[in-house]
Amino acid sequence: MTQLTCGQARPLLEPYVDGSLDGETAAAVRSHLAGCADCRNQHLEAVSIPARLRALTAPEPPSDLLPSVMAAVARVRRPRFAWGPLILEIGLCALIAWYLSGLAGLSALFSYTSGELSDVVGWGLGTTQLPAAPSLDLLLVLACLALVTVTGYHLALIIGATSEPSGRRAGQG
Amino acid sequence: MVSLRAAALRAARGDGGGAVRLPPIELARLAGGGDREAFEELVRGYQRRVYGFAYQYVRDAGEAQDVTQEIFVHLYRNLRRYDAARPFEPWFWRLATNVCLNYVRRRVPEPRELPDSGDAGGDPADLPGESALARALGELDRAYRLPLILHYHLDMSLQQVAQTMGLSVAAVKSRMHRGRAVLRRTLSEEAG
Repeated sequence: MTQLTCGQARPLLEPYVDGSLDGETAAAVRSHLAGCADCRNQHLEAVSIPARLRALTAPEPPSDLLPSVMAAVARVRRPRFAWGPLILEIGLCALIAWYLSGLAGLSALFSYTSGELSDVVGWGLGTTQLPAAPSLDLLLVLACLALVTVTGYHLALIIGATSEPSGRRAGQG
Repeated sequence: MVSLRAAALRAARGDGGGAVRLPPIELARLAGGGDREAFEELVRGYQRRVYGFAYQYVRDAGEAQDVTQEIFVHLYRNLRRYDAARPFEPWFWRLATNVCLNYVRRRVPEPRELPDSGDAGGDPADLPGESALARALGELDRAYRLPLILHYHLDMSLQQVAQTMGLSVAAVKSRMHRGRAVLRRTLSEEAG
């Protein structure tokens, strides 16, 4: 049978106490303990620790714990509500993207916008008449405004959902 | 209008009005659907164990209350993600463990005051005979402390601890052995 030193035996004490060692190793630990008073003391300590851990107590939860949890929960918005406007946002983005129709659409929009801006400036100076806005452009402006509004609302929801109350102070507030 | 869920909850409580008869998994399902009453019952049923768990981890009554509240708020926010086909307890304790670990990571360490001998307050860590182990447990590396608390304080089986921590049973056993060995050495050094 293998003779163990103290340094070899001590890391085996916990598995020995739990009965997790194979027969030969357990016999070697037993043999070492029979001849080593220091390790016997360590073994006694190792035997007592599980029961002492089980006996550790905690104080009773404070009586205001439940009300404070429910108050904190009442202020929590669930993330699910924050995902609703996403569908609308995707729809509006798709509409705008369709309208712009890539690079060609973008350059057309740029020349259009600059021409219209010069018309507006000319109208301001009293040199030109204000042209009537194409109905599709008005639709685009409305879609952009709606997108900004919905995104702002969405951001507010996300901020509200993520800034959850924490700590008992939040519950008492 | 009385909701069917609320009515079922009241019926499940019986005449006493206080005893919860719905199993946690059912309460979790109802609470996940937005039933506040079911969530309150869930909190009522778990508050003692959650507070005890938090206390064993942070060793401070005030902080334990903070952690407990945070755990339940996280539970409320995440109940919709809970799959009722799976057991509730490992899922819940995993969530509780993560919240606890995050709380400890965030907190700024404060200098600990020495226990006042004239104060016979309810801190079990100050009780004679228990203080050394409680203190040693509080100072133990969290990788070792957590399985010890889950197994010995919450009475979880090794399998449940493994599920909660996302480890194998062998890894949990190994951590518990190492943790207990550290506690043994610490206690022996203090006694010697």
